[in-house]
Amino acid sequence: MAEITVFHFQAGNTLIYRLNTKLKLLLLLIYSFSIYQLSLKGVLFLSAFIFIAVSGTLTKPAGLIRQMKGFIFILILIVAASMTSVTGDPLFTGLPFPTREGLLSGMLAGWRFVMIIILGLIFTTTTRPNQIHAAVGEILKPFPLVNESAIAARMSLTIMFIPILMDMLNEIREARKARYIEGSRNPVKNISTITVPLISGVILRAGETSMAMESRLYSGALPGTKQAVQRKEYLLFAACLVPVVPAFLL
Amino acid sequence: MSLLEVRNLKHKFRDGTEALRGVSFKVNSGDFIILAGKNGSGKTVLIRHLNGLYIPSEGEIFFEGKPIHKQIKWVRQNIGMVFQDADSQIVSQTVWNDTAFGPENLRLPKADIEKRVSNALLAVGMMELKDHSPHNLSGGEKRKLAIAGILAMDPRIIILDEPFTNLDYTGIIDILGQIVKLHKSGHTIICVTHEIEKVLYHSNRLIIMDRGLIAEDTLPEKGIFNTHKYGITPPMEEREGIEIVRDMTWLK
Ligand SMILES: Nc1ncnc2c1ncn2[C@@H]1O[C@H](COP(=O)(O)OP(=O)(O)OP(=O)(O)O)[C@@H](O)[C@H]1O
Ligand SMILES: [Mg+2]
Repeated sequence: MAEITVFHFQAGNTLIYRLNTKLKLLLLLIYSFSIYQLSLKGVLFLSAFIFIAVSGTLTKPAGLIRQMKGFIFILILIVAASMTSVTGDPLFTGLPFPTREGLLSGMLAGWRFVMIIILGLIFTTTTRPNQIHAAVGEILKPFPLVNESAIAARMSLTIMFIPILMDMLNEIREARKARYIEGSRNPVKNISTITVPLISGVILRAGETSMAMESRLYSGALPGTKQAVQRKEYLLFAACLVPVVPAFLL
Repeated sequence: MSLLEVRNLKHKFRDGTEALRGVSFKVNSGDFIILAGKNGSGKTVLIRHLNGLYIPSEGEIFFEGKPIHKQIKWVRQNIGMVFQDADSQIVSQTVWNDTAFGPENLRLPKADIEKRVSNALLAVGMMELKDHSPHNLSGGEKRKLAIAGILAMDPRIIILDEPFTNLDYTGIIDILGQIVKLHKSGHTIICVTHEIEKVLYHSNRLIIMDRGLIAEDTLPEKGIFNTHKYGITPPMEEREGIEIVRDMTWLK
């Protein structure tokens, strides 16, 4: 089976690992929101900061990109959609699309998508799933009418299933290759030969996994460990917020 | 009193398949049972009743003399199950966390959890891999991780569903060694397999299933002469059963 490490927790010891999970989750939200609100210059500025901050954490970027082929396809779709829908100065005389504005907005949309993926990667690589589980539970606890333990459990389970999905997708691709279905020109057929086994596989697999969890006494309740936030962590959190302010002024 | 007792167990699936048609047997403390039978004979369905994952259509199961549905948490803690598909058992993103999953659900104090996890990982020889992602382990390592995960719950009975499938030679030897070690350290073992030539020597009982019923429940050296009737192929020789069984291990 292909080696998939993307979106998995990986042990490490950089500063991001030591940040309290609740604060890290909050940072993730603030950064994601900012990336969608900022101008092009602002996004680039914030991206530069993110890259510097995580340079010690996300090593081996080439391997990551190789594992995320599926996302590259989505990325191309996003860029292509903007490029063919924004009107303005045509780049080539005689053709209505692509326009200069379309190209720019396509690139911005694509870059935003890449940054969101990178943020998600950083979060899942540096946070243990049970920490996510506990943090989401703690955040939701004050809200009435919210079953915080159930939501937290579902969320950490979803995160857990991402690598399984990617594993299965790869397996199906290999199986298709082995049976020479790969090269079909009909895109509908192509998609259905992947998604049908993927969905039925996921359902089967999810059933087995939930039974395995049940036999190890899983009940969806929150893990009892509560993380107290330390002063140092608040400082780190504040430091991470600093570049967001000038980014909005750019 | 036997440790586990199954009485007239029947299971009919919603689509009408009668997977179990009246199964009864007892498991004694210290038993090493080989549960064999053709594909589709009902082995997996049977063992999934033993810790309450499946609910019987009819019949009852007793653990330590009490019906299991009245003590399901205690039963699951005491009857550990290693599933047929090693991948679907992975529930965490590191080897350490995966092993800690059961004890965490038991709500043990943190220090106890750590002790159990490290003992379990040491027992299966996986301590160096504790920070690795389970998805990237080899087939044999995945299965050892599954064993560690249930060892950490400190069970009395360990059930393994086809533990040798998808393993290469060294993987099989490794897992077989683990199972024998678990038995020697006092665990009661139920091992589902049709590859009886790999492990029968270590067992004290051979149960053969056929179309949802128990066809044989005897000493290995007696049952060995009947296995071919049920689609299991050991080397048939004109020797005493005990002698043949003596060759039935890959641990030499
Ligand atoms: N969820 C289900 N719904 C309907 N029928 C099922 C279901 N699970 C199992 N069966 C059927 O029950 C019977 C027994 O299946 P079981 O999985 O116990 O066989 P097995 O002895 O474990 O076989 P194998 O050696 O292939 O693992 C089979 O006929 C199977 O098709
Ligand atoms: Mg089976």
